[in-house]
Amino acid sequence: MLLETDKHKSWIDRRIVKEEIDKYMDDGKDFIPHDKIYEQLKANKNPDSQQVRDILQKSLAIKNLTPDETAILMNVTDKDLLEEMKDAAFKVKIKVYDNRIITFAPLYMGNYCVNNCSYCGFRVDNTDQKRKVLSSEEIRREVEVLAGKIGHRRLIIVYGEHPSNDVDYILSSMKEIYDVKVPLPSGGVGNIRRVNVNAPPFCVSDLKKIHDVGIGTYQVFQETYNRDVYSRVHPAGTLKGDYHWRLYCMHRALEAGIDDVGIGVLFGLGDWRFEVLAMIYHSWELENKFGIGPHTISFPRLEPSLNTDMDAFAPFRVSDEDFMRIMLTIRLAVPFTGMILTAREKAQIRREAIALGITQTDASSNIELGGYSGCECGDPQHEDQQQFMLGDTRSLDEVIREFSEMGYITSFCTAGYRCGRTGKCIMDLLRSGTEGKFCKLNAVLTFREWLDDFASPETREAGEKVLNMELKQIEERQPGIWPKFRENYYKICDGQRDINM
Amino acid sequence: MDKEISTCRSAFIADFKKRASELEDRLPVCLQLVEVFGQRWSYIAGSIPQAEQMVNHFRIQINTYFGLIVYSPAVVDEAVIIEIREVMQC
Repeated sequence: MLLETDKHKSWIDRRIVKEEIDKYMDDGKDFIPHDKIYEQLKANKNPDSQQVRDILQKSLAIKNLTPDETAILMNVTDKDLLEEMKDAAFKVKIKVYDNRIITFAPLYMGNYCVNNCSYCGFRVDNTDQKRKVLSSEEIRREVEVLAGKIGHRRLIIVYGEHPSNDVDYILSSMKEIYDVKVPLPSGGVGNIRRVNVNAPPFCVSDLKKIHDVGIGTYQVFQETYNRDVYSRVHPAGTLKGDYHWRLYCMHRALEAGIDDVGIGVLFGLGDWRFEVLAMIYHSWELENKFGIGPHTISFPRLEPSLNTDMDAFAPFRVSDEDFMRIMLTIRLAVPFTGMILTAREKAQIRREAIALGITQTDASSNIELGGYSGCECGDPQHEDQQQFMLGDTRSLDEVIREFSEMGYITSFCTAGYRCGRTGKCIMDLLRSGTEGKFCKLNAVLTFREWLDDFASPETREAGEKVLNMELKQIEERQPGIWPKFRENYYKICDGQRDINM
Repeated sequence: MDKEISTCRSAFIADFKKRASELEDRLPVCLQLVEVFGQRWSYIAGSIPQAEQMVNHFRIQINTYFGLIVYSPAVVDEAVIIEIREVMQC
């Protein structure tokens, strides 16, 4: 019998372009200095409190921390100092992003995969997994629910690594998503305004094609930066088994013109302290080579999936306490980068993480193929139809109500990448604190839209309280902007949509 | 071919910077050159706007591939837009 990987051997053989790895390496070496990272973690134990406070001042000035400074923060054990770190992280978040939370939804496009990653439900050997690739009609139906019934404006679309999910499918599916326009009772249209892509690593020429159809952010997680662990969980001879092809993927994306890139680690595969420092090295490498750091950093934590031996990963399981420390450290180490925490996590973890600097999260999430149009929100999850099990399946309406009660404004703004605020421009605006204040205005306008079009009476009531507070603040603190803002706000109240400052 | 495109693009950007600098000296605007990819307008070059300049901004498409973002602290009148279009030849 022909194995799945044998059937696609010629496709697999063409995927990795070695020159597009070698050209970025320095004398054959990559930018993750394994031994040095372990030395830095060891050398910076037992930091003194003044040293920690000086580092916090640097974060508060919205400056990137060095790997040594990051290692110091990871080694803090004093409870009072930890509280000071949490306080600083919250202040950094408010300074750069204000009290906004951006929401999005994941949309899985296909779960065929030629890889065999030991932690993943989609691995090729997992024959109990039901496989599917969404057709054009199915994509349309999913987007009609996401944009027309739930009210999402931003998606992260997810693809397995397989010929059926190749670049041509990605291009056509992105176009399909952007084309869907759902008439709303307000007279406006529900549509997806920003499509972010979570896909396997591509070569530069394919990335240029993906760029040209209007991608938002290109997201690829290294999973683990530790080469030994990487080899253990990604078998040799598979596409994903090539550590460097994945490691230099964002170099190729930036070369291809995709200037908003998202990185991440799957926490739970290896030592989390090593992974955090390695991610800082990745961020530094991109800034040094391209002048553009990661647009977002994600924090997926290993979750159970069908036929996966979770005991094999027990030594590196990340406790809730350590997980919070990871997010806290990253917020302080790269103050201007967006931080994504998804519905993999339970509601309580998500609630607590918001105060540590999380800027984006998903809700109403369904990661079954065709799940949005095929199920109701809150229906039981099916292990054989999804990559892993979600920890929080609450609806967007419920999550927004909770954010409102916590004093956060939910943003559906997607204006930035449609008017040049990308790459170096957005980085500079975030560093200067300009973007946070400006995007707040668009957060208010898009939240107004969502409340009018989609909110339940309870959520609307909670949302109106936040909006009224924000409107008052804008009038008082930004008098120069207020007249134009008020004009746009009333246009939205009158039924106009997608109006930005 | 790639080298020719790259040289041509560099010359285009250098030319934009020169013209933008000339306009920014005379007018209260901040100009950026962007590359157009469907919905996405990607930043290529130009000044980063101050907070007060971000209130009024608008897009001008130069051709299929490039566009301008104009930032200004006040509403830009038609004469200024005409001047920008003339200098930028769009």
